[in-house]
Amino acid sequence: MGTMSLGKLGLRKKIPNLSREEFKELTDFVYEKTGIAIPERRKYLVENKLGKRVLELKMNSFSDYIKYLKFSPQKESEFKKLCELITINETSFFRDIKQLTMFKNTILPEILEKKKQQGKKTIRIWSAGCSSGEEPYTLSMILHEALKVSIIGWDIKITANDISPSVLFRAKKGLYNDHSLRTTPDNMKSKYFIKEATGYRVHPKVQKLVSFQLINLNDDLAVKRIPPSDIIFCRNVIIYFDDEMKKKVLNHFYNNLMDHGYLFLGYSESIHRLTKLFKPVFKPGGIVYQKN
Amino acid sequence: MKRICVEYVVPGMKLAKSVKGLDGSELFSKDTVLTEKEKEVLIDAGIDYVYIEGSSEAEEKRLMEILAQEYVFKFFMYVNPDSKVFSELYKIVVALVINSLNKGWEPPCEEELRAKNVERMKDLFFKDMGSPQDIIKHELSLASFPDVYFKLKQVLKSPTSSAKEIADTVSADVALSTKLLKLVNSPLFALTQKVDSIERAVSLVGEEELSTLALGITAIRYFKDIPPELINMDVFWRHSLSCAVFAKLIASQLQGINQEMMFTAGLLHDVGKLILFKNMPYSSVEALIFARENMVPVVEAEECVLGFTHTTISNLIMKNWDFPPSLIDIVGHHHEPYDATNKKEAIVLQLADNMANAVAIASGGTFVIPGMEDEVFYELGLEIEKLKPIVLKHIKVLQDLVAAIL
Ligand SMILES: C[S@@+](CC[C@H](N)C(=O)[O-])C[C@H]1O[C@@H](n2cnc3c(N)ncnc32)[C@H](O)[C@@H]1O
Ligand SMILES: [Fe+2]
Ligand SMILES: [Fe+2]
Repeated sequence: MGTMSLGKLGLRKKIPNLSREEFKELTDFVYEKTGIAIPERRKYLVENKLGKRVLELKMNSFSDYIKYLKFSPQKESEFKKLCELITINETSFFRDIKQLTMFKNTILPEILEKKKQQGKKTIRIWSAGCSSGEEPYTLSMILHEALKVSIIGWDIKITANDISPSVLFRAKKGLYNDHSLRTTPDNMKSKYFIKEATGYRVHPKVQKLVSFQLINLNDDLAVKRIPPSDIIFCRNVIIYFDDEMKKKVLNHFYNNLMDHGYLFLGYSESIHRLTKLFKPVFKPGGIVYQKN
Repeated sequence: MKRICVEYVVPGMKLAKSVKGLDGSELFSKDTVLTEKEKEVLIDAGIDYVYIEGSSEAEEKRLMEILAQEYVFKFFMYVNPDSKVFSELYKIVVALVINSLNKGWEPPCEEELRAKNVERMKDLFFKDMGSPQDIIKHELSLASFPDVYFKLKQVLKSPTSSAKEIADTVSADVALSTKLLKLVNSPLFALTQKVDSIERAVSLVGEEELSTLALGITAIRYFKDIPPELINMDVFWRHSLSCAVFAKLIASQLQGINQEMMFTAGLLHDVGKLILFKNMPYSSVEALIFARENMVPVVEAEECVLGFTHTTISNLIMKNWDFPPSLIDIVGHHHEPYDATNKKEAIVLQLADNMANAVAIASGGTFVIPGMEDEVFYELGLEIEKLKPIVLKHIKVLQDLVAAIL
């Protein structure tokens, strides 16, 4: 009987045991590679989550798995797999609409005006940690809304990147379900999405402005190759980093931003304890950080 | 035939009805046997539900059991897989879920389990720009705690207080006394005779004890005015009451623990969350979303999102209201009982909270089980075998109590 066999299995099921040492080695590895800091109190969570993967690979212990990650010929592809397992990709179109409205009504007009005066009609936006693409596409929609038909006179590029290959795959596909659209205003839905059998497709003119790349924010060289930006959105990403990694990433953003460029962070991410590189600017709808 | 969310499809299940895409075209026909591959297509297509059946009745039963185990396991991801206590709770909950499934219950989809984003409601302050004290100050400026509690305190303090005076004070508040009477008459209290007056209740339950219970019930009233679109108050109080019942039942198995105190501690254990929801609505919802996504308990999510937790808030507000110090201590430590002065009581409350969350899984509960170490549990001297009878008793009394006092 099913319920009888449960008695023997309990919670452990078949997954191998994760010792304190293995946990440390694994989380050190993750931290070194990605900057993602996994606190000690999540040991069991890691054990339960990754245990499945260890079983899938038909290995008997986490030590074997760690060796595989570090030294096997498949280490690159396994690292990508690991990234998929440990990252949280929660996102949606028009997430934190108050902040986005503030962006559209105050920051964006300021930048557009400045560019017009300089006679340089280019805009560069970087969406760092873009997950499955909802954020950069939303920014593209906002630009379309702001510029309307005059958008053809502008040279706009939104560079979006993430560390997890599977979310980028979905981002490039540009096909979304209801859940991704749960915070999307109806008029945006009808204007920028095409309904298909298997979901909502982002309109090609929205897609055209966005390019996706697999980039690890902890990879200094790769980050330096990102073209200088007027605006950076990095929302709900640094919440997974420790202070040291946060500082490092903020430095990258500082170096990447053009003079007086703006940085948008997630609602619950504050950096004033960490750095003096940016000046917090308080606007109705949220805080935005300006390069000093 | 059964309707289930696509995420819970177990390979081998057979479609009992065809599946249509968003635009109405057929994706899969009836009788398709689903494998991981079809499941992926369905998820990508954003299909929420499918109707499935097993190829035989026995097969359907087996698939339902697998479904129940996988469903329940997700809520236990944060706990030690080797824990004897939580393995036992896991088994109990799987049995409850199978039972619910047989009665036609449909486990909510991942999407429904997630807290919904709300249009941004204004928080009292942005992250790191204010402190728990600011929240308390704001809260206290809005409303004051019901009078009857302070009157009761007054009476208790006076050296000449009599049972009659206490009874009179409580009886002056009709709603309160009705609920108190229903409470002490519930099978939870197992009094041998029916109690029909507060005076009688005072003499049977005790002066201190009855006042403690009155405090708990009064608090429910105070908190009833939270904007309902933000937090489902029924679910919140159900959890609190469920925790209260568990706390009292566990305490009744142990020596030297005040059962009424534990009941009230259970009722009040998460009130800090309500104050957070009132004053920091957007952050609170963000914390719930964070908790679900990361598979971590809400306390930990609060720490990440807000930088402090509901226990800090509970502590401060209860101090301001001059609640009994032991109650403050127990409630304030239900997530870290080790630092409590009343350690054993705090452990009871931690266990009760875990059990309340666990049992709720079988009726759509959404929270990850926060867990506790087995060594901590063993300090109670409670046998693991007792957990099951406690759960059964809890289920027996909870529904009536919900009707009686919420
Ligand atoms: C919660 S999502 C946020 C998505 C979107 N920015 C939003 O706010 O809705 C966080 C994303 O950060 C990505 N991420 C985490 N660490 C990263 C790193 N070191 N480099 C690049 N991306 C990373 C994750 O893969 C994940 O997709
Ligand atoms: Fe709690
Ligand atoms: Fe709780």
